[in-house]
Amino acid sequence: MRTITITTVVDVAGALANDSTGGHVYLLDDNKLNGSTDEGTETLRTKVRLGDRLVWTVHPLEVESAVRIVWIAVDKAYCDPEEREYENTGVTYWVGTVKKDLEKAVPYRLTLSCGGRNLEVPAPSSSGAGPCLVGGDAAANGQAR
Amino acid sequence: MSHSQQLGIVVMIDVAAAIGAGRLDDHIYLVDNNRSEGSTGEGTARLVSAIDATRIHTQGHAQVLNWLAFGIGGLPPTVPKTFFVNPAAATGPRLPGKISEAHAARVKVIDVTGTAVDAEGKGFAPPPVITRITGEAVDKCVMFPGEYGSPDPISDGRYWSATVNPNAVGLFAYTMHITLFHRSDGAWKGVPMTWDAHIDVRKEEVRNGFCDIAHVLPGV
Repeated sequence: MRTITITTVVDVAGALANDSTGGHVYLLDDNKLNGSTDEGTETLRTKVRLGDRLVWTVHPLEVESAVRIVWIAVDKAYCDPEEREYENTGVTYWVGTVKKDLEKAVPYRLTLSCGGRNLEVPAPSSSGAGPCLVGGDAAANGQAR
Repeated sequence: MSHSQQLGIVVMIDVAAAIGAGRLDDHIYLVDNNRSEGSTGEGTARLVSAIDATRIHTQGHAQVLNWLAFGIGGLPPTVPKTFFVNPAAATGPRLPGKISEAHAARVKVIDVTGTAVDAEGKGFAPPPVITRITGEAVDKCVMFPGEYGSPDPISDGRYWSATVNPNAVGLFAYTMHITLFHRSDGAWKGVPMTWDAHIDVRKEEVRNGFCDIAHVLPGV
């Protein structure tokens, strides 16, 4: 089983100041070598295949700021992530397994709790473009988008 | 305009990919918290951190840069350091900057979910460590870096930080010396690498409500 980590770097103060994650989140994964693209953006395309374990974490720019993933909205036919806690820390991550091959790009939406305020990735102002999981031929997925 | 005195620069690295490639190109991503003030290249390998030196008059006001490096596949920095200590392992004082066998035994060998992994450490990714900051900005006395200790649970309580000389306006490069770790022949090996980034120190005329005094002067 392969583990792919998808981390969201968040400028919490910036997101709160604008009441939006737009321009304040940077999604990264550790699977660029196998075909992930758009690293460091809000539209990260993570290359996955059946059986991969996906782990979503969150990195606040200021360590002391409170940020947590409170929901991941994704087609459950492909992945059904759940929240878990690093034991006795109050810090959580989300984990899910890719349940079937992706014949198309599967977009997902993160809800982040930033200082107690829930903000979405992608931001509502970003006309729907957000992160997604892609499988098979990345170029074909791009066209199918 | 807000005036942040603490600029945080987060260095995210795909450690396994960088070690495989033997270099950081394409596997390093930099982000700071000053995009609203004009930093560019956020989320890429080419970060230019904007530094507004306009209102800095004394050392107490100095702009401070802090660098933190993380592996993309590592645990997030918000996890308390106590989580990483293996309670069953030998205890003893930790020597700053040294990786001793005793220390290695004290650290849990865990993956990104905090789950113990085998002794060979497959899935365990020690975080990258910044060991030094050098380069043009240091040579020209634009910034004065040093390694500091902190009770904050970040980067093992030590991190690199620098104050910026507000009188040196312009674009300056600096070099981060970063050690990545990987398992090889049954032992953890450090692989030193370097990466350059920039600071853009700007100074504008101080303008505030007290500067605009024309209305109290007699017309001419």
